[in-house]
Amino acid sequence: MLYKIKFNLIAFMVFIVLNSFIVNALGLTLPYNPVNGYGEAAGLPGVQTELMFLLQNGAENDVTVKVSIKEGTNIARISGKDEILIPAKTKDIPLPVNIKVPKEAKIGERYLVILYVQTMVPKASGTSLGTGIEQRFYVTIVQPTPEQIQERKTNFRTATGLLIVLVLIAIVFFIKKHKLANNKKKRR
Amino acid sequence: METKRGVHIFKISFLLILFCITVLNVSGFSVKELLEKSSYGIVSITGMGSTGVSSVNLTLLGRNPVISLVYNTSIQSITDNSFTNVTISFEINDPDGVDTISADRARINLTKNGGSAGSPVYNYSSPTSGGCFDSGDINSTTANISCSVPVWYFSSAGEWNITIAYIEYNGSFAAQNNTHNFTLSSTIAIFVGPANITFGSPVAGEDNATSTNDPVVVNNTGNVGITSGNVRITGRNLVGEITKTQYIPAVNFTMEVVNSTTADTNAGCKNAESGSNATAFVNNTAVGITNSVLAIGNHSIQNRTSGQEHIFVCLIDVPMGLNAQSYSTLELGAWTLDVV
Repeated sequence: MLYKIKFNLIAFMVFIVLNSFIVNALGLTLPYNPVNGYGEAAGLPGVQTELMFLLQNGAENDVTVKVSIKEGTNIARISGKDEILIPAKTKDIPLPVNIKVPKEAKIGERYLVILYVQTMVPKASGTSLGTGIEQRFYVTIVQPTPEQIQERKTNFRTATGLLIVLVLIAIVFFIKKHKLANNKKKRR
Repeated sequence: METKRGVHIFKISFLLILFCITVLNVSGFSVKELLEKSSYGIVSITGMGSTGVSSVNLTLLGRNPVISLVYNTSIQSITDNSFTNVTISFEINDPDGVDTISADRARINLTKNGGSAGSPVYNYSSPTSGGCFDSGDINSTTANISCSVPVWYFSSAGEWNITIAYIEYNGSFAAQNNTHNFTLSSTIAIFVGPANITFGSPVAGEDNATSTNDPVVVNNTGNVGITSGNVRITGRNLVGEITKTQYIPAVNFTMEVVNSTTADTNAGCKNAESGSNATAFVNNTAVGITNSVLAIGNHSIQNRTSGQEHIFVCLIDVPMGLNAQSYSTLELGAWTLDVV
């Protein structure tokens, strides 16, 4: 029993000493230039866009982070997994944030989104210290540009055209099939 | 008959020559101009007299090359705690032939518009500062050259200008282009160490037990500055590993920014006597650490202010009546030091 306690104590001390040399490193490349700690992004009513953040890890050891939206969940969500491994010495691990602006959003309205990235610290004895980055940005609702309106119209026309062609093909196919069936009946 | 024919040919030839000389004189044609237009490298023509041409001496140097195309470099980002090799490729045209083009004579400067730490950055100031290399020939007079320039993590985000130059053997500029820019993205990045804070073996009732492995070093390894109070600590109660009903409350811990090599045994502690700027924890809540500023800077200088902070930790009061056991973050999770 005494031996077991001694062993545990030594293991604990070794862990503490080793852990004292481990460091946390975390980086996040932003799709905008923040001013006074806040970023700016533009959104169109009813339109879905993606803001691409990139995770970095300049340390010698891999790190796993948990990402979350702390505010603005009504328009923003993390695309994909919320736990991401950032290998050591990498700078381009994508963290896509999907922005879906409500259709009823008014021009000039601003939505605050708070993105939080936190290192996941393995459960262990001692007083562990993790690292985090909080990013705040506003999504401002803007008027679509004439090019965007034109693009939307073109997309709509293309989709409508494609639908009409598909319906016509279906009708022709149906008529042919119907005729063939009638001919077979007549032959009998 | 044949003699008459010869006389006619001679007369026509003579008239044609006369006509040509008249036209050239009227239009102000100049042999010098013609040669200059057809050859970039003519420096002077001497020996032209007012009454006739006795001799013409042409001094020819190599014709100047032209930087004909700079490839789009678009958006770049810094590398956390290191440098990014920004590679710029361009085409250079030399009428004297592609063999006369040498990558060693290419130069690149990157300059932050409005100024920045780490700007301007050159690719030829030291053996480790990049350099240029031949990326292949486009045709008989045009070569593709690529140059790398190291951009360090403390270089400011925004528009950077690219200046490409090609120099002569004597060091004078043969060609220059500064019409291209690239954007350096913002990267918020920190380094925190150690990842485990130790407090030795304080006893119940003890005051101002400081960490035995502080300071916690926080480096700004990105190119976004963190303003005062935006380095935050989220502490959690340290729960007993054997008797889990016993714990050291998070509010009993404090952190203090001390940007000096302090010998103060109470560094990091906040109490009535010290009157320090230490910040008390709030359980499971992020609290801005007073006076914590992480400016953009080269933290390798190790002066505790350039892109760096030293933070001291203190257990200001060990509650009475606690059992002798390990109290840790195992139960409620690690403390988090974050930036906004």
